[in-house]
Amino acid sequence: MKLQPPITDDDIEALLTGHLSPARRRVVEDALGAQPDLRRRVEALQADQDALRAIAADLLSEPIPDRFLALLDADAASLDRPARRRHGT
Amino acid sequence: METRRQALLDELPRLRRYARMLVGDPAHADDLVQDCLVRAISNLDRWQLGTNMRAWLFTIMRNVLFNNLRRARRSPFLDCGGDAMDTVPVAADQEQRMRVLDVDKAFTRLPSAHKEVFLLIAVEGLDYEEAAQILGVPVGTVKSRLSRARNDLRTSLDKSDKPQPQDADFAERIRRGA
Repeated sequence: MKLQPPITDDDIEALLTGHLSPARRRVVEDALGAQPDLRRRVEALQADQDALRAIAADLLSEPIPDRFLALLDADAASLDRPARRRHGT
Repeated sequence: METRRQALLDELPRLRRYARMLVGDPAHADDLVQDCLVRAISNLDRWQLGTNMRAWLFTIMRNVLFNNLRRARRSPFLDCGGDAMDTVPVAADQEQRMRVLDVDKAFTRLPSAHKEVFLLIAVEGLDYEEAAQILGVPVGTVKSRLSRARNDLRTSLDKSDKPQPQDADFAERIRRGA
């Protein structure tokens, strides 16, 4: 029987946020394949994150209210005045 | 060359979304964004072009939120209530649509500290170091908080799931072709 290396919480986090190296990802997915309960939980966590991202993506597409644009325009001149010179820059 | 005004404009949708997902109520969220923008504009000459404006704005947003809550004598970690969505986002199928509704409801009930790590890492895609700077906590705290946030969300969703047929019975019926 092939020994599976332990999967850490960091591995699961990295899997969920897409930060695993391809090699480590293969190892983690193999190990999950041998642990159905853990795999199911990770799949559920992934689905939760996908749902949250769907909500977030939807919110990003809302138009910006005029009052915020007006704030930027009211200060147009001062917004892009040159930065104060800092010591050493 | 990008101007400061354009850089600020580019960040408005994310800033607004962050506020909205934190506090739920759209009017409250927009008031926060307003306060945040006023502060950002008045301090804009302290921000260097080419550096991370998003992180800078999120930090200001948090300060505004905490100051407002302190003035109203509420704990910054009380849930402010309200769903983030007015309408259900388009999802591929019925099961996904239900899940999105459930996740939205469960997310709003998380403590603010959990919402924040979720938003910064899993939604905004910041790395741990950036999130740690914005939140003013060590990287290790960000990691453990996010892990706890995910599991608390999952647990609350599990509790609200309708009961399912026993997995074993179901598998057996499938195998027998029933």
